[in-house]
Amino acid sequence: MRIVAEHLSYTYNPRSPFAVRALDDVCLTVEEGEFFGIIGHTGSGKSTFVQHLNGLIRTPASLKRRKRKQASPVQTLTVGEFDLTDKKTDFRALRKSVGMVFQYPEYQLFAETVKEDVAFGYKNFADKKPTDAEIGLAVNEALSIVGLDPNEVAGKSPFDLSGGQKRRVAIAGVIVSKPEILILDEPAAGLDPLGKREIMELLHRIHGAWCKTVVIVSHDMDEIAENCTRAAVFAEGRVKYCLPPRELFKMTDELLALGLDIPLTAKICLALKKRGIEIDCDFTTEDFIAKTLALKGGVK
Amino acid sequence: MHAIEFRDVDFSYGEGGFRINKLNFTVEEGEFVAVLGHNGSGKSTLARLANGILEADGGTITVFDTPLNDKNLYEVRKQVGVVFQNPDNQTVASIVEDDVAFGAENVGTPREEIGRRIGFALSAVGMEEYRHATVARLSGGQKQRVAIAGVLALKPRVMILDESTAMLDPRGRREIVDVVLSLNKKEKITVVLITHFMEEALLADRAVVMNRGEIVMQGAPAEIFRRHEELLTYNLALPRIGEISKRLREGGLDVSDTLDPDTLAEDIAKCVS
Repeated sequence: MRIVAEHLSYTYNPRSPFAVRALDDVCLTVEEGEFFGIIGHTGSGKSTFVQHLNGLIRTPASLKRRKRKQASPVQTLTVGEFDLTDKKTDFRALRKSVGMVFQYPEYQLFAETVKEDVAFGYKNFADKKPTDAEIGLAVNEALSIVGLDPNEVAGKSPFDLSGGQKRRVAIAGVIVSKPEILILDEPAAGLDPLGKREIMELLHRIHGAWCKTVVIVSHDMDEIAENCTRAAVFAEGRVKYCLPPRELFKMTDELLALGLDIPLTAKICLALKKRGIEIDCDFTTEDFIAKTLALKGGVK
Repeated sequence: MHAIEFRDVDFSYGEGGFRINKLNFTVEEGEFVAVLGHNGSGKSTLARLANGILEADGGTITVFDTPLNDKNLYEVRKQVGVVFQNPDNQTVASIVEDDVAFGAENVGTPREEIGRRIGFALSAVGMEEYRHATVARLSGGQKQRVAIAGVLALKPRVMILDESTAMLDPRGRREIVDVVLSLNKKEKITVVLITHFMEEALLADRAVVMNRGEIVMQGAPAEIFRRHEELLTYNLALPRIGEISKRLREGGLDVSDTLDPDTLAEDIAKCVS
């Protein structure tokens, strides 16, 4: 499933003194199979955009028609077969295909046991009432892929787990219905460095085996550089750039001008460039180290 | 003078739960201490013990020469303010100035004095112009600054920040760090900053690493971050730059274990030319 947004705009509290234009003519395509990153400041429109993708925020068709009269470009938003600007779209089916993990998802755990919590989404999205055996199997599978031992945690209260474990349970509760696209809003925020690394490894496991496409919103440029195939930079409700990290993080001046950070590897490359040494890497730690060590070989 | 002194402090969350045994820890007046440690290492327990939210099972906790006990708890709490992680959980009123006044009102501060303190606290965190704003409409960083102002209005001598920047974006984080630095340098408030971010810990006078309820490393922050092997034993990730320089050395490039990208580039340039 591809995500295609064209000329997408959205205003909160329209026609009121509190009107805020959160999205302004956003055009963006996410291909199937990508590990896609979304970057931008708080208030840049990232979350508003992401919430459109499973229909939590809708651009009403009436607005679409009125826009057409004003001769402005038609807004469209499609996710695979689903036309999200169409009221008649089956949003339940859409939400089954597009899983959404919010920021700090562990605050949304609610059930008495981990098993019930994870099963909730599965039961909701099942086409016919699943048997207990089916539920158990799906829950165990989901817990295993997020790196938890079902035998150990399934019967426990989710509130007795550590912060990192809670977050995994919350992610398991979303991927249990096997969405094709998984969207996560700052999946690693607030965790300690090792916890962050574990969550990113987990997302790569899910990306290969469960969900074809993964979209993450992140403030951590290192995270984007290490993991993403492409990243979109949001600023003032618009997509300023949408490039692979290799090209994106060469635009140091532009990113700094937007008040954004750059990955550590890009900082070192920049400092090397000032000293007359150019390293052409994709800004992952691995590639940076390989290319830097190759410099030494070349001189010898 | 010691701002906070833990002597042989014991604490446990009950049978089989997390426990602290004979913990000794001091913070000097005016000092800026960073506390590091993986999740569950006891950092927050330390913060909660220091202002009496949790009660020690044994040993003594002394705050500015006053040993903490049931009778002086409220007096001591006025001196030690704590700011927590989630900005949304720490605001009580809907208007900024009411929220800042809340703590001071609760301890019976006279009305005129509260007015002055709101002014002082809001200007210390750079939020004067938001005095009459609605709390719910502020950004995370702004809300967290209001939370800090609410603590400041109590005129504490020590401020403990328990991962107060963890939920903020980079801009919000910078706002908080700037405020904390100026409180420490200008207002001479003693600061204990619990954090996972290396950049923040590097600003402190001293860093302390906790593991399983014990203090396992102490020293100048830059020094601590260079002790790679030890950090790994305590389940702390190496700073990314440390990891890169280490692997370059393993690959045969003689670079130093600096924490500054520019210096690392300088070293690499020297090695390859």
